[in-house]
Amino acid sequence: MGQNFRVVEGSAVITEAVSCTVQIGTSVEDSSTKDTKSGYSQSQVTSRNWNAQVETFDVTVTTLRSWINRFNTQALDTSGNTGILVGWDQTSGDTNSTLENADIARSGNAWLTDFSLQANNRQTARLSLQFTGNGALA
Amino acid sequence: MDKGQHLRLLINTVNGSAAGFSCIAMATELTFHLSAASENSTTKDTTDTSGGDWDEFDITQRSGDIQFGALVNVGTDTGKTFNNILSGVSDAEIHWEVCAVSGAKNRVVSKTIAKGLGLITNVSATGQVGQLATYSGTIQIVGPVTVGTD
Repeated sequence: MGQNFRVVEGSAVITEAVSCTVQIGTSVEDSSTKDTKSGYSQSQVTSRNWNAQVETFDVTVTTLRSWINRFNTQALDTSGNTGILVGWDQTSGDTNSTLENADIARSGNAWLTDFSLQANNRQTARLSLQFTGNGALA
Repeated sequence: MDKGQHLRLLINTVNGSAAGFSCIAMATELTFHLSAASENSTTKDTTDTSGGDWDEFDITQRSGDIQFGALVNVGTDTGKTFNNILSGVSDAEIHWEVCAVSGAKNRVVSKTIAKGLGLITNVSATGQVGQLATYSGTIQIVGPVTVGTD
């Protein structure tokens, strides 16, 4: 079920999430040569990347301040600063907050690259967060 | 869960007094957006112990903007904030604050979430027959965003 797949920050789920999306991409390069048989192109993987997005209804003052603080402390000089530990897992329990350490669970360091708070009249305020993976997924 | 009307945008001209901060009156919409540009920083020095070639990134720049929308009204207070916004277009910079609010007209500020300087880069007003007149605008955030601590 969709509610059992959640994005995790550190060792806890991002609370009151509405949607969680993760993407893993692979860049490939055409490696066809004159030696390639049959005329079909041949490709080689050159790099991989990943990112995660969450939309949440958790827009308390404490939460918003915390995310903005983390956004601010992502040093432009990133020596020694590798980002926020972000991942995903299958969850269970009353509030779907118990991590199952399932086979699908992955995590890695990521930058908070997008923070968008939408607060329109007569709507539930919502926060969208986008993380860009920095290095390997474990 | 909080409703959108409990988060509001306050603005003031740079030359104004602290008491000059006022809510965008009769506001209907607010989007507070921060973005960090990143650049692929993978080099030949990058080692990967997981058997893949995972990209690494460095943050290169931060930026942000605030989009707001409101009803146009010629009433005293609402007209005043609209005028402030229009003058903000010509002023060099404005102060802005995104706040949690409550109370009468949702105008009692309880906590400041974030604040900073900005430039009003766009304002558009629309008055259609048979519809309420509205305006919307964009503030480009200038310089650092300060997180509220009160």
